[in-house]
Amino acid sequence: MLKTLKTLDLQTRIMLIALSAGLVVCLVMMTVSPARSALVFQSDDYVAEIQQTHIGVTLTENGVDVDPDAKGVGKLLDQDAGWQIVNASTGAVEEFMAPGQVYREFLSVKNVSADMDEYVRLTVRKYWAAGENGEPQKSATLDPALIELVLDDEFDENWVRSDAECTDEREVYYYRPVLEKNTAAAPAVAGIRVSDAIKNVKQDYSNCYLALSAQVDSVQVNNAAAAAKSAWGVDVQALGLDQWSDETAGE
Amino acid sequence: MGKQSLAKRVALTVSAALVISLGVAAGTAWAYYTDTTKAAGMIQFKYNPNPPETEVNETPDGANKVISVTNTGDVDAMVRVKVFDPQIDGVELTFEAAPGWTQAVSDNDEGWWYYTEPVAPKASTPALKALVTVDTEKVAHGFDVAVVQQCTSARAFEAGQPLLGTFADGEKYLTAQDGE
Repeated sequence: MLKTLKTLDLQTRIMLIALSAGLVVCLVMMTVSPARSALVFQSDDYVAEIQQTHIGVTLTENGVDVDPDAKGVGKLLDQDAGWQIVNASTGAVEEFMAPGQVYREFLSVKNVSADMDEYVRLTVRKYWAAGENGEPQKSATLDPALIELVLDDEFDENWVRSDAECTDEREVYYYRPVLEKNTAAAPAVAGIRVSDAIKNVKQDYSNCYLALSAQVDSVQVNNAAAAAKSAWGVDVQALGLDQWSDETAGE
Repeated sequence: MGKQSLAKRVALTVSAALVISLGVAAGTAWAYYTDTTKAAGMIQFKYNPNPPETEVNETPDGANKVISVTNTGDVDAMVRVKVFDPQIDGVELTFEAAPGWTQAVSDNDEGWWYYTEPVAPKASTPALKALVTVDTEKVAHGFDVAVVQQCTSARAFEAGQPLLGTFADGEKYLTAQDGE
């Protein structure tokens, strides 16, 4: 072997030496890392208990938890379950929504964890649906911008609207402070309104459906900024959510 | 040849070992506690806008008439006005139209004046002046200059496009780009 190596040209020998050196360095690094996690002390008198903590979040509509069905999706605007079109100004129950009027619809988030605080965000999608036979499908021609979400009066104190993520169809809100276990957040949305501009549009809105879908996401408090970046791809510092980057939050 | 082949094999083996060890030494992956929940629903929406409503305003100015149209409904409206010439020898009818009024519209044998912009609720058009010149030597009796107005929905109107709207006698289009 050595004889063969000695007979090789200089360039080949240098290359083999470099590769071998690189391999040795990697091997050394591999042995060092595991060595740091080795137990240094062990005692028979102590018993370690490992408890898996649980994080959980749910949506609330008009103060009531929205429970998911068998498919894991809850129901909004469920008139069969008692939801009503209530005029926010007069308090009257109406049969259909009229343009320009605000109708009561409080949307918020609740931490249902028993043992873990969390940071949360709320995403609401609004769109029109049309179709017969009791199965309306999302309409690509009717303008979702005509559906307006009316924010709560104290929205700015507790929530941040992410302008970069919002579109005519989608609204994204981040809850500023830590949401403690078994606590509901202040409402983000207080009502729905169909814009007056619908009176002069070309499209036919005489028989369609106003649809809402909401999604709530939560992340752990520790390393929340990194968790949000990893899970959602969002830089919370750019949104002004400095508390999320604060390591002492939730203590 | 044999030495080169051996060198090649050694080089390949060491390279492969290096690549594999780099992958193993890449580091640990992290996971975070997260949760998500969803909800959705819809309600029926029925909206049929009331038809547009307008009324004409006529203000006498000597023998002349100053005419405008006001939108009294709650949706935008396209309007047109017709002034009936009394057809009396000695009475001549001409017009002084504010910008926006035109007769350059398709199939306009009856001489309607069209306002080329939608009129918003509670708004009025600018004035269309009907100038009546009377030869008193020929005309010794009174006469009337009748004005009628019609309106239609402005839903089909689009700025920059020639279509004004669909009136009682069909779709009406501008026949000149500048609306005059």
